[in-house]
Amino acid sequence: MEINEKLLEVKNLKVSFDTHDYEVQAVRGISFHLDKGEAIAIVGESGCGKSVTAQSIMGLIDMPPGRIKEGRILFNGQDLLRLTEKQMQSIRGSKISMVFQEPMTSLNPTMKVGKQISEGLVKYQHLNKRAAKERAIEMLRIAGIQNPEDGFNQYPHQLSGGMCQRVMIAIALSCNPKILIADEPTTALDLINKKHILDLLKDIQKNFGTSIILITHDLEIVANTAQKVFVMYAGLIVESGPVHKIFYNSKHPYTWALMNSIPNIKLDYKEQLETIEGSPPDLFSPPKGCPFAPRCKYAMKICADTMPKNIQVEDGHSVSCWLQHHLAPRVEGPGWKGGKIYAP
Amino acid sequence: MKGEMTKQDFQPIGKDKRVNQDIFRPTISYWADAWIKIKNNKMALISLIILTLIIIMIIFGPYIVPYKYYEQDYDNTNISPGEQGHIFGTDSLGRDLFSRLWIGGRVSIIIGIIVALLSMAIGVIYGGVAGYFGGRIDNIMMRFVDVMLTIPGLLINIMLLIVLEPGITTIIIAFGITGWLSMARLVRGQVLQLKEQEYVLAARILGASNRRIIIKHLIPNTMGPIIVEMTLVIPSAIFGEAFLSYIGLGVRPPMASWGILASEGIKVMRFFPYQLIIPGIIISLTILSFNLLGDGLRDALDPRHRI
Amino acid sequence: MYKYILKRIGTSIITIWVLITITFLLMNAIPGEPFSDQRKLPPQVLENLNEYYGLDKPLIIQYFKHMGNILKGDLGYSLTYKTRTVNDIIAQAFPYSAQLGIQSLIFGLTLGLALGILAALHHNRALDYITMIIAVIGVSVPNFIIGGFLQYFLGVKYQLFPVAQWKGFIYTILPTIALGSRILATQARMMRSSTLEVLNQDYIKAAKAKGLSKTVIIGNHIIRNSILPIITTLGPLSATILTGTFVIENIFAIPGLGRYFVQGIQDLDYPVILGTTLFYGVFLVVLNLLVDIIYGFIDPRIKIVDLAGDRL
Repeated sequence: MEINEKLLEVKNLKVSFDTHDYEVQAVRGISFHLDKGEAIAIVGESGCGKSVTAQSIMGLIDMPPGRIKEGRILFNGQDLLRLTEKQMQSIRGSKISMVFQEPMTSLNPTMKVGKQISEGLVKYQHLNKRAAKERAIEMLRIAGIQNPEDGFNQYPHQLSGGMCQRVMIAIALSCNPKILIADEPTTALDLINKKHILDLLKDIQKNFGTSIILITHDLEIVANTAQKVFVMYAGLIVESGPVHKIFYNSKHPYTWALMNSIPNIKLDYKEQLETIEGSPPDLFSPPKGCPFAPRCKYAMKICADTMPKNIQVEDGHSVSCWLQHHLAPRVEGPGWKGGKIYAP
Repeated sequence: MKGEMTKQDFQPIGKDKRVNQDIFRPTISYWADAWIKIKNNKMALISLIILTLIIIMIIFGPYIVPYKYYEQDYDNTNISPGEQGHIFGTDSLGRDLFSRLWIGGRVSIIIGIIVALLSMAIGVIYGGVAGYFGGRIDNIMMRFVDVMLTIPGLLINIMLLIVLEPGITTIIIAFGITGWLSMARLVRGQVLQLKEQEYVLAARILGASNRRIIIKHLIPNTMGPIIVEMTLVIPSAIFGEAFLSYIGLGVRPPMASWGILASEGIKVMRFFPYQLIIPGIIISLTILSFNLLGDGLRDALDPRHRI
Repeated sequence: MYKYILKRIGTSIITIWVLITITFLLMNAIPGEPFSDQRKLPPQVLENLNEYYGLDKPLIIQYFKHMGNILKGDLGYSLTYKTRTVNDIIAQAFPYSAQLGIQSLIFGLTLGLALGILAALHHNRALDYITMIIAVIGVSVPNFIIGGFLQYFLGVKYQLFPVAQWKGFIYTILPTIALGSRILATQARMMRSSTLEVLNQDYIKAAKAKGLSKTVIIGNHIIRNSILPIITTLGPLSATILTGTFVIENIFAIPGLGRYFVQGIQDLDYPVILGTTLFYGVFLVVLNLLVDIIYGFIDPRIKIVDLAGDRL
């Protein structure tokens, strides 16, 4: 049996934003951890707090108006939330790095792409210019750019979206980080590039042992890429577990709704795409009960009043839902038939 | 509070019907939102107040004192402010500075306002046509504007004023001729940009008529920058008039204008500094207030900064 | 890139031509004979003028004569200084104006840009507000009033600086500040808003995520991008300085071209007015052209698009 080494541990993280009149509670108490060499996915709708979580790990939230209310983020024996800016600078880019959603705008338009890779190298690894350039070209090659020597001298606007994203990944990898956080890395890309980038992430995990945190709203891309899944809704983790258990045996109505709304290429002619009605709650006045209750088909009286407890369903798989209580009615999750998810 | 849970608690209640109504915060119209932002902007408010005060003084000021702005009094030249009934003193010809200051203000502000209106009228039409039709027409029209803009407006103004007799009307014409250029470029840029916006496309797809598109979408979205530009044209007209009067191309005596007061003040500044300081402060305050107001309006009318 | 340059040169030539034509038309629109009753002119001078301008010939011929003269570089004789040519006056006076202009530009630009960046980096805090107040004042107070105030307070009252003339470096300080104040103010505001916009961009966040220090981010990422829009305003900026010299040189008794120009206006010395206007106009057009070309080389987005095949 493997002894998994916890690389990153987030404990009860609460992050709020103070606007003019009110406090927006973006993250309301989440906990999870990342093992060495593992890839996890944080899944949820826009506004559920997943990006805020990722940026909190990196210390990229502007404080004001952001504010860490509570929680610890443990990495390498240190609590990242309590480090100084200078200490964080030595971690960002070299131990933990990040790839963002919009590759075209995440690169400096007036700087050659290669230089944007090498500037980090010169700083961290104290390489001289030539060595940095060579390594940058190597990173571009690893990231899948053809003709990396030419690519080094290009400007971002000369590259396509997919290529820009590869450059971002090359930048992120250049100092051999322990963790790579990918925040919606494929959302702005077309299907073919989506697959390439996801494959690239898998290769990185396999060949370099880098742990990956994949942030996305698309449950579909998680299946092949992550080993563990954390489903977030309205600032909380509502279900978590190994990927196959989440796909085949999920227990939370929100997860079911997410899976139902995955477009399936085998959809029958007249079947409509499923959507989840309604919108997530406004986070400046979060409901006191389960946040998903207003949109939940199976909501019960207790759901509206009281926050459900987190219950372990099976090994490594837990869920926060009152349906797990012994007094609740038995409800079947979606099943699989003929390669299609069908609603219960 | 955590008491015993019963089967009752687990009765299904289904989805909350209210969820689909999605009302989070009340919506406010664009103009109401702008007004709120202006009210919140202290500098803009102060400017508004200062401007109102100045305008009141301009209108009523000359009537407060018994002296007319053109009355020369050789026995009472260069009197310091506050003495002998002259609130702001007198100039080297014995004319009361208080009434001259406010009469001058009338000239400057009127020039400013008329020039602003003229620029808007010509600029909006010219720029609107160019932007709306695009293509070749736009190219030719804008080429003309660009050429004209490279030549400094002040030079053209000077030339025009030499040719035509200097005076208020000439100044207005001269400024008007050079002033509409920036406005036209601004409007044309706005129209071009708006034409391509997705919401215009969406409106078209939904079947909106051209007229509806122009009235409901194009115009409200151009009004913002146009108003801001107009607010900023006025101080530059005041500035320009002051400049031209200093050179000697401005209003003719005995009429007063702020520029004339400033230039006369500079001449005697060494001996009677108040003759420069007082008009200088008022002129600067006015221009300053217009600029701050313009800035405030720009922030308020920028649709990206919604409350 | 080359097509872009050629297009710009073409536009510049057209602009200059328009300028010459406009000045010609305006001069001829002046009611009455411009040279007749203004002063008693000796017959020799009158004859020279007639020959130079072709005053007795039809308008079209006058126009071509005018064009010819200009292309030859001959701007005629001053009416006030009867033995001096306009070219002569310009050649002698312009260097003073140039020095004043360049000093003011340097003063205004360096301070203005620095203040602008600082203000943006300390957005909504003390430094930001102070900078903005200075900037707004600099934009609002007409430069001749600033000049007058400086002269009075620093020159006359406290006698810290000489009040007028141009006899050594210390003489240049007050005029430079007066002329440069507007530049300082406008550049500070523009740099501030340009920097603020850059700060909001995704790539700044991404740069931070790379673990780069603040200085590196400012130097490599922020400044490069926020300065670009400023460069495009260098043209109009020079125009502001140029017109500013008219008044400043007057107040401070500097023997520059601006002073001769204003004097010419007051004396109705038409050759001087015409010649100087043309000189200024051409100067600005050429300056604008140079700035545009330089910008084309600096902004990689323009450079590459052109080289890659005329996607302009």
